[in-house]
Amino acid sequence: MDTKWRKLRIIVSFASFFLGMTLLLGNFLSMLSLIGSRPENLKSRIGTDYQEHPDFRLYMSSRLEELLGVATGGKGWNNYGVCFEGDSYYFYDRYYDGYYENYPWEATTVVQEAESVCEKEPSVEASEDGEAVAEGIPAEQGIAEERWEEIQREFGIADDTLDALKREFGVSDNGVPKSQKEALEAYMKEYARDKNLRYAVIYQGKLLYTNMEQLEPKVGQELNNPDFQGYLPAEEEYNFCLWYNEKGDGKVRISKDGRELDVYGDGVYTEDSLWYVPGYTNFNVDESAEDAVIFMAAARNPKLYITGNYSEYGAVQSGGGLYWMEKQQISRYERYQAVKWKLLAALFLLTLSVLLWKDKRRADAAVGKFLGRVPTEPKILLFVGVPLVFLFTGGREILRELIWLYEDGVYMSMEELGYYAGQLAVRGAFLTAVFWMVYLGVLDLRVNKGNRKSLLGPVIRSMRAKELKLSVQRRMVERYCQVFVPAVLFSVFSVTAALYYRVRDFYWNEPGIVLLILALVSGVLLLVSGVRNLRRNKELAKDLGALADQIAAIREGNLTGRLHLPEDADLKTAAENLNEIQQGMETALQEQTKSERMKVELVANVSHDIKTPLTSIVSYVELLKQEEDLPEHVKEYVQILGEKSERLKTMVQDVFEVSKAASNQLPVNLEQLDLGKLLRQTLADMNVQISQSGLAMRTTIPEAPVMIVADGQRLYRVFQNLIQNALKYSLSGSRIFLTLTDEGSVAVANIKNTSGVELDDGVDFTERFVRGDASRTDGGSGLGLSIARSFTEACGGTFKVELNADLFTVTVVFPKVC
Amino acid sequence: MNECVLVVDDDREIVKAIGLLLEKEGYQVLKAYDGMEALELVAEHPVRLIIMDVMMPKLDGLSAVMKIRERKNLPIIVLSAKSEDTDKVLGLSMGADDYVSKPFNPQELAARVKSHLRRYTSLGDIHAQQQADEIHNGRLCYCMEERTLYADGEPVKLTATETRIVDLLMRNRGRIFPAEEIYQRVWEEEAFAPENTVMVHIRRIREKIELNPKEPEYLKVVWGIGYKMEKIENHC
Repeated sequence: MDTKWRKLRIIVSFASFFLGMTLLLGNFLSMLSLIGSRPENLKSRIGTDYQEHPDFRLYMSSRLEELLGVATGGKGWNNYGVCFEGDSYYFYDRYYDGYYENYPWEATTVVQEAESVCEKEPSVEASEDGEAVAEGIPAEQGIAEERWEEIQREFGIADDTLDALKREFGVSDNGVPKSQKEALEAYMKEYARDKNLRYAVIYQGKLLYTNMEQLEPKVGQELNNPDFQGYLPAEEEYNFCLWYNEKGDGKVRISKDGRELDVYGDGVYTEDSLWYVPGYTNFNVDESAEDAVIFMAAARNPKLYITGNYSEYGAVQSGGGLYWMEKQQISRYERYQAVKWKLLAALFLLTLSVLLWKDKRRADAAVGKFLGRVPTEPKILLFVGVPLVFLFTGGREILRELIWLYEDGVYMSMEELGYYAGQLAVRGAFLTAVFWMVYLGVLDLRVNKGNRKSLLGPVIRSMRAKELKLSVQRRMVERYCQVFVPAVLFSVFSVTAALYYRVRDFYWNEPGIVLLILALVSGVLLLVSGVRNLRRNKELAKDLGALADQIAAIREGNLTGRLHLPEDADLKTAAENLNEIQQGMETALQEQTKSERMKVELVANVSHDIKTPLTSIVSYVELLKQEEDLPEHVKEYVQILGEKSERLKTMVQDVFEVSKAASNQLPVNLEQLDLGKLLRQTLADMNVQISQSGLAMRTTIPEAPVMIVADGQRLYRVFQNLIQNALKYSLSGSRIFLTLTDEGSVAVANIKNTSGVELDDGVDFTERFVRGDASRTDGGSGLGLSIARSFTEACGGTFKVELNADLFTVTVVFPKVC
Repeated sequence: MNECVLVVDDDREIVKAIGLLLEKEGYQVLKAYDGMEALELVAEHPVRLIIMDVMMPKLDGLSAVMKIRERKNLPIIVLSAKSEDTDKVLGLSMGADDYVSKPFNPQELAARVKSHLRRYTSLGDIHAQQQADEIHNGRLCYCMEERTLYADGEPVKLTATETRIVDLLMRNRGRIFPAEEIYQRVWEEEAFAPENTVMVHIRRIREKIELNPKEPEYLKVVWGIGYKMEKIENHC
């Protein structure tokens, strides 16, 4: 129940906001135009009294002007007739409904044409017709029948239209032009039919025209200052009365509902004055008008008067001016009322939505979420497309008018407002549409931050995935094509378009437009693919650099740092392969280190396990040796046992050290020493052995110190082993050559000896347990050279064994210390 | 004199062999086969010297050495199958006086026992009242006035040249002398290929003073540089 209520509140909050905003924006402009009007006109816009409207004032002053013209007999009664230069007649007759709209423009042209014809060829046409008529109206003011035909031909006017024109532009049915008098009478006859406006025209004390039935018998009589109001028919209510020159002062008096109105204000006519009537200090009448007295009365509720003038042209609505004016006023009033109510409703709804703002926030979130489900592309299309369509259809006009409204709103007349009334609604709709687009757009952006659903997205992703399956080289070729094709298209289209316009000049026609659009589209495509390609190439270059760096790092021995490229990088596969190689190397190295360490541990354990029983053996051999009453041959056995156990002891120690050296776990104590001295010391140390061997030692060691960095104890073992090796395996009676040479940056020690037995070339003598003769029957452990090499390398030197026929050469090289 | 020596090792044959050797030398031998036993025996008997294996069940040798050191000040020789320098350092720092790696030379072990006992018993007081003209270095003592070298309190018979070399090296214990310098200062003439000559003498001296001349403790060759008399602190 609770959730249902909450849901309802959410819906209500958003609905009221939506409706309220729509109503407000849709009617906002109408209200603006209302507020924007002049204060004195405001009353006319919010009331039903048509007489308050400026149009009414304009109408009354025009009628007064006209009647003054009628009174004085001047042309002024119809200043713009056809032959009499004026369109007031039409104005009067057709005012009721969009006079300007219904006026046939051809007719205006015809009228002007007719005027010019009248001026140019008056006499000719008159004499030819031979029927110039009556009282000071020149015959040439009429238009000849031929001329009408000419006009008809020239403007392509239909027959019935022509007839109407003829009739109205002062040509009688038989083609005879009307005289001014006739025209005046006809005009006044029409005029009199409008009972909404009662009038009386007195000139030089004589009543000339009136449409007040009670006054009509007095037409033509002298009438001095009558009480016009008294003659008004009682059945109608004429609440607006206007007197001109009532007191012979040339001024106008107006009363409305029995109250006098202030016509002149401060007495000076300005643009802002309400009444355009004579009597201002700067707006006087001439002498002729001083003799005229005019009375006009307007009905409170005008009626529509129709005359069945069937002898001429059927039923005619006459004098509908005030009637339609009131009609319009009422409809306008109703419209404003509607606007008012709509705005009030909008205010109410908005207030409601403000009160329910918490619910509205939830509603916003829900709407945003819904919008998030709509793909981005249609939204963008809508967001960009709607304003574009609007601009390219009627939108420009409306925008312009909006600007006008903004600039000229204050001076806009009711007619104009009426004309734009429909468009105001359009404007309101436009404003509303814009508002909602922006509102929903912002909502969408806020709620669905970075969480776009796209129609093209999956397509692009699948294309990318497909591309990623290709090899790097294929991908690069394809990418090149992606730029190349639009480039070719763009050049072809733009060149063709340029040539086309060169040949055809600039002409906005369809092939040209199509070419231009094609060129534009391919240009955009080129730009997009070019930029994209550039970006990807930049990434590729970066990745390539990273890959090269990584390879260099691996070469340097860094096996732990991995190269991580983005998922979609071109070199992703290559990087992964490299990583795997690195991983493999690292694993292999770890395995190797581990196995070496295990080997050392094994050797250490084994040697420990061997040493313990060996200790017993050695000890008991010693005890045996101390036995005195042993037979001689047993003493010999004991002697052999002693020697062999001694050798076993050495071997155990050697094996242990070699395995340690092989796994780089041999501790070395590096210090500066003289290699020459070391060699001499070694030789001195082994002096006895050498002299006992029967071999000759040839040494070449420089007197000057040859300083190197090494562990002296280890290096002594190296040369001790080498010399022992040489002593043991040399051909008896041969010479051993020991040389030390200082070769600038390195010290090279060299031991050469002639092998006693034939050695197998291609054997690595430094391998553990490898010996020159396969029988292994001599006293060596087979570790001598191996230890020598391991120790040399542990001290930072290089160790090389060469065999040239029977010449066995060992070279030990150490970098010299400068 | 029947001094009492305690031999501790979990290998009974080794204990027996060492026992036989030492008994032949005239010592009274006590035998233990683990650290705990050793502690008990030390508490019960007037032990003068201990030979202790490192790796033993119940209580290992080094721990036993530490425990014994808490109460008794007597020479302890540690036996171990480990021959690393670090093991040696560890053993000595735990309170052992000597370190012999297995497999050892029985004669050498006997000599060491003798040396330690001599120093511990008969020469104990001499260390206390050191004389100005005597240079003590481990089990060596050089009397400058007499120009005599004593090893474990017994005078070492040296030739005149050997005495001069010992005199030079004992006066400058720890310093490394190149062969040329030794030659010049001992023979007092210009050196020409002195290495062999010096080495011969060094070897002879070693045979007289070192317990194991093949692994000298005192007179050492510093390979590639020269020779020196190792400076050894007295443990007792």
